[in-house]
Amino acid sequence: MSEKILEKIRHRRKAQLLLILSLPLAFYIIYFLIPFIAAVGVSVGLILPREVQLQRGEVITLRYYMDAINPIFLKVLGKSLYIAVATTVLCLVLGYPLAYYVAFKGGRYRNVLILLVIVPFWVTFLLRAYAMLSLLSPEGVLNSFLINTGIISKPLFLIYNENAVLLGMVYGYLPFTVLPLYASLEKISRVYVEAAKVLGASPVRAFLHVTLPLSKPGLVAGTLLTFIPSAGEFIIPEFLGGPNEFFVGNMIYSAFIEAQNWNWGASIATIYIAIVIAGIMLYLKYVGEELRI
Amino acid sequence: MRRLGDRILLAYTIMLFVFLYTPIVSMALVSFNSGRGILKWESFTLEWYTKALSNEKILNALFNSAWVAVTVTLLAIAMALLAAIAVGRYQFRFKLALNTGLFLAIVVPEIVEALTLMLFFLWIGSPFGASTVIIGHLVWFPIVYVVIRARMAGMPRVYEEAARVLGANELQTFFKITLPLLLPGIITGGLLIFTWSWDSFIKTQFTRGPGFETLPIYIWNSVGARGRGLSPEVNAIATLSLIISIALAYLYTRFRGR
Amino acid sequence: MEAEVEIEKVKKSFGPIKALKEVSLTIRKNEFFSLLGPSGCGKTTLLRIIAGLEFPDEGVVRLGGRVVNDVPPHKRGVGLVFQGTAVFPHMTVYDNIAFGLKMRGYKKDEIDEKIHKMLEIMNMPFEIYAKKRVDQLSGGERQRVEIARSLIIEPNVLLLDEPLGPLDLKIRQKMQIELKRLQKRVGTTFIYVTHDQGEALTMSDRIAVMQRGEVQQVGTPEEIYLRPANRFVAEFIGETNLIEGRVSGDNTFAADGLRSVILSSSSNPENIMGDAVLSIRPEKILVGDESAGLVNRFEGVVEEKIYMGAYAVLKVSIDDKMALTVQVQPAEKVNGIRVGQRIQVGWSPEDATVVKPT
Repeated sequence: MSEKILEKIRHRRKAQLLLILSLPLAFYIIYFLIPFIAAVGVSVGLILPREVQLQRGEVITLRYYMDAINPIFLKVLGKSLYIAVATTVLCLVLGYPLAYYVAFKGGRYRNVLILLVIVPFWVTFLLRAYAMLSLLSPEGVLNSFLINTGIISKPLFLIYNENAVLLGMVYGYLPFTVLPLYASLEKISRVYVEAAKVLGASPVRAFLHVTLPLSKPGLVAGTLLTFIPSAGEFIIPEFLGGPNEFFVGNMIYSAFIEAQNWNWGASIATIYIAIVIAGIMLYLKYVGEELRI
Repeated sequence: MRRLGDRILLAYTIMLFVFLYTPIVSMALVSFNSGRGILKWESFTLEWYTKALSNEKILNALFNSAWVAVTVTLLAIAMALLAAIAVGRYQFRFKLALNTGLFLAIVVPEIVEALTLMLFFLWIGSPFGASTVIIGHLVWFPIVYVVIRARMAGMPRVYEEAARVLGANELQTFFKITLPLLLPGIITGGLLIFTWSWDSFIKTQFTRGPGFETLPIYIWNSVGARGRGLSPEVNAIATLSLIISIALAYLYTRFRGR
Repeated sequence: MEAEVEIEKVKKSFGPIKALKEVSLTIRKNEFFSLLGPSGCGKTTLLRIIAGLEFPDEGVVRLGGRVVNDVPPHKRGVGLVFQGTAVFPHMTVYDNIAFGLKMRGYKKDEIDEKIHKMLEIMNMPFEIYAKKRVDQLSGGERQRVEIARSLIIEPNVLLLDEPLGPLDLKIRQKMQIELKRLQKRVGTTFIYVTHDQGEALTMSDRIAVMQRGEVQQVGTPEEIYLRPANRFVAEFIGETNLIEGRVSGDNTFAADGLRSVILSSSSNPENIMGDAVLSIRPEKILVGDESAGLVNRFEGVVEEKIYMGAYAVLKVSIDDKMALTVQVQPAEKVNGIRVGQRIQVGWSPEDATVVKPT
């Protein structure tokens, strides 16, 4: 009798689970997984375009990869990764003291400081890029201010170079680094630091041996949250970079939209995603953290 | 020594905040300047705002942004809730795979997600428009899932069990106990996806049909690449959008602590 | 006596872990029944099976004579007070207590009236407490709200899962007495899960001692304390001295290298022969002159003397073969005794119990 009831309950739970999970799962599979797989398919000549496939008489080909991997692409890829790494490192170095100050030294202004950290995170990326542009452009606020006060007579060309892109990236992604850093620093109990000091550690050593290691989850999350989107950055180079500032994100865009060459676009997108995911995996393995939600 | 260190840190913090806020504040200032260009401060005016808000195209973009964001938020919350309940309250084999898979949808760079989705829509021949934009934004529903799931993990099972023993059936338990207890998570997650949708440029750009503009699209189109079209009118509408974002950020800090 | 809850050969596993290995129990109407055992003994699982939150793999559960195996928790009409507390944090005291009544479709004024009465029983004036939020309550008050919430639906059985666990010792002792009084007053059958033997002994009419998914002994507190059924029960309930040895036919007990111990007829209720364990409570052992004339009398060396306030504890070693813990009350009696001194200890045959070695 008990077994029958258990069986009944198990069936009921299964039916419920199916009912509950079907909508989000179906949506996820149809609109995330399938397009993703389809794009990989396109990159090896599957799916699109059909006529070419038939003409060629081969179903799967690596020639779009062969075509895609050329010196220009490698240069763009290298540059993108360089900018992404530089952005991430700069954001971590610049952001850590800020997160530290807000978490531990904020005192009675802490809530205001937290809000000040969070607000830029919530302001549209595009808007902040636009704001940076309107500040730095030849007709921008900074130049007009300097001209009006007579410091300079001709506008400075502050943008359309690599440094401007880097500045814009750091400006854009700094909140993405600071927020997780702050969140993990906030959780560290001051008791540990005090214990270290009582045991004879100087403030610097206490920081290096206690606070810094304990904030590792924040460092890891901050690194990922900064590196992943900055590796594919598209808006900042369009706004602040000159014609030479061309990154993978822009290349994928122009392959798809301007050249309308989907095989090409899909193959560079696949390479790029593979590199990013491999990078993340290696990084997580290196720092000994799990991928977690 | 220690005081000095604190002071240096304070000075540094202020500097960094100046760095973070100068561009947006200067952008907002320009929107209140009566000078035609942005070269010179003349006097305070709301002219650009009245101009912007009587611009048919801007109003249309604002309206589109708002209703798309609201729709996306509500649907994403529904899907995230369902997924969170399935993972949190049921046993099944591919749970870990599902968790990792959902995480993937958050970490994949927006431009890749947007382009693969565009390709997919082309492939299945779906007409581009508001619905494709909404679907595109909805692919971000895992962000809401993550927040709700975190809330759920910190929520003991006993409340639901207590309700059951006290005489509530499964649905009553869900609506009277589970849902109210998850509310802070639902709100924070909802605020997050609302902003992501409200802010989305890349995804919207590749999944919208011709003629369907949201605010970021409008801004992008009128500024143009490399800032050829900077104008105080755009600044005004950008500042409005900024105020909405700040309000949402404030709400977020309110609910995060709960 | 009428049976309220009957558990018949119930088995339950969680994956490879056997939480319950064929448990049978009968709990009578209106009794205060405790399930006592260390953590992981299966007591909470059993309670959850009675509440309907878990379903047995095998066996039958009856509530008031009715088989309830396939009845979901909300239709069982039992009350359950959770470990920690499960007072709904998003509701007021009033809404918490009203929850079960609302689910049963009571009208507002009926609910009001019942809550008034219930809060009175709980010593929590309606005017002060009804509108309070849960986070404004102390631990003890929350516990009372949870009990009130479960009692107000007038369950035939109230299940309590270590309800006093998180409370401070003082409040816990006070609540133990209150709970016992409450149970007598409302007359509901209480099934009380605890790992605290003192708590079980104080409050229960009967106790089931559980270990590793099995019931070791069922009995009144006296029976369980004075006549433990096996070594585990003897060790788990209170302090005791356990001596391994053998029972012979002439009602004596022999341990290695020691003179035989005389048993009384009541010392061996289960008539164990051969390998056995002798259990003697520390307070039943007399020392010095007080032990004069006892048949079981040994000489030993005082190894340790511990002052405990109301009483004192001596550790006495007999020929290095056996270490006895002796409780002496009042503590002043040990004033003249020094560590290292030889001393006489003894007990009467009926104060020792023979239990199975495992």
